Amino acid sequence: MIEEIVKDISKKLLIMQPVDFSDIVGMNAHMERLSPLLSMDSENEVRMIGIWGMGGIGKTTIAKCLFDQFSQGFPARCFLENVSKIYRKGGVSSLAEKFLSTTLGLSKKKMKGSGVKLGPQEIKARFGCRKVFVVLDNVDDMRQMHAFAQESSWFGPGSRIIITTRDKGLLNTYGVRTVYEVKCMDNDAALQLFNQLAFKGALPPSELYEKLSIRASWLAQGLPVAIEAYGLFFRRMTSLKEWDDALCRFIEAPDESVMEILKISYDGLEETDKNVFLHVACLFNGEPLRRATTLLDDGVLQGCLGLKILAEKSLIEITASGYIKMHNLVDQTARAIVNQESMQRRHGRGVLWNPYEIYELLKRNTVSTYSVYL
Amino acid sequence: MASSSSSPIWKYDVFLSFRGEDTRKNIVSHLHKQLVDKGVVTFKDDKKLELGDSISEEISRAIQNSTYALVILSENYASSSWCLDELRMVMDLHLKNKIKVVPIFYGVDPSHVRHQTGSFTFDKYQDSKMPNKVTTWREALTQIASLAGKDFETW
Repeated sequence: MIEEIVKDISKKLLIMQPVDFSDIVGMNAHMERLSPLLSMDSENEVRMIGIWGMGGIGKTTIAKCLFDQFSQGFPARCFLENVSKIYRKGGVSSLAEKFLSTTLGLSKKKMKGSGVKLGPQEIKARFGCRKVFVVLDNVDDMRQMHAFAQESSWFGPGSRIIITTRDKGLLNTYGVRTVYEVKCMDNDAALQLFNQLAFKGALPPSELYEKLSIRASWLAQGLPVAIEAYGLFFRRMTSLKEWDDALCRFIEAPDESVMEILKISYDGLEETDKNVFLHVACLFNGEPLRRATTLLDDGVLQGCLGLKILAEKSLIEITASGYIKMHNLVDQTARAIVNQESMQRRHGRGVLWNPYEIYELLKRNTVSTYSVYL
Repeated sequence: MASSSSSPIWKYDVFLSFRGEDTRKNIVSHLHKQLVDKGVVTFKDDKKLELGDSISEEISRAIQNSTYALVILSENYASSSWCLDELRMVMDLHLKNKIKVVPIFYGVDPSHVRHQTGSFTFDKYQDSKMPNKVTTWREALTQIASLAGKDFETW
């Protein structure tokens, strides 16, 4: 009898698959590339897959879709959103608690009442032989990974562990060999997403609007979170004049909300790396890697190591031909940081790039201690 | 697209509503185990620890985030205002097509549930200070009894 009920329900739940992603621009392509990486057929190994990319690129959304599509049928499954935030609020034990309570389907009260000890050992004991599907979203510290498991063998054969992060170095350290890099959207997809939001799914009302929308979506440089922010912003603009003004504003500096998301990666850097980052943004974006390394390795900045870290944290990209590439919005965010910090500093600016400002300073002969690269 | 919220986007497949003293040690423990083994994500709330006047926010969120509600109607189900509150919430969502409901008549007569007679008598709520609430409980019981369910006696 009970078996009948259970069979009935699990059958009905399965019929609700598959999930339709066609309304999320670009998602089908991600799913097609990711599904072979998951290799769902191999039932004996534990597979860990890292989803890596810069802030706002859509890692969480991709992981959600993966979870919806593939986690059904796993005896235990869990999507832990924003691991970094849970960890900062309540530490390792609160991560373990959240993981256990969601996976086992127990209420928090019950967990406390049952006196379950919360930690990686408890997870190992309970999940050592169980097949799990787990998404750990937004991990930015090794200690967060260790809150769940010291190694992949702590989960049962056939398990799938998906980790989203901005930090590729963390994936390497943890031994995650399969890494899916999320790249910016191409122009067509970006424009499609922008128009969806700015014109509420309709087409641009005239050719002029169409041209403006191409320019506006181009400003976001294929970064989904920025396309969304701009799309929603332009939705409120009703005349061509307003569109024009808004465009000028975003050429100057990106939207606040976008900068905040991009700044998270900067805030997580060590002081020296922060400094390298600001120098790269203001002086070396688009320059050959070798030039930047030589100029930055001055005994203070450790440019070589710094650039490697920035690349791992997806703040810059080193192209195949050896050039440094920084996303335009990241570059703009960095310049905003320099401006802000120099306003708070008594001794003037940290990095100078505007020739006029440099001239003014040299004229007044107030440059001290630090060199100017041109 | 940014990961800004820390609340897991958790959806339960099944919410189990039951009276612990009647069912905890038998049907519910088997049912829960089998559901979990099959990979059905199940929220099981054992009301042993409940305090206060109404169902907690956690429970109400769990109900709202469930695809199915399995309601195990047992002898003492109706003597708990907790269970009845839970049931009313489930049936309200059911009317809005937001949850699918499967009643399980565990040793009780569906017609007793429908008409609130026998072990489902409402005598103890006769002098309740909240007659409106009692009315909505009655409605919820009548509604669930009219759904196609599983009857343990006749199976």
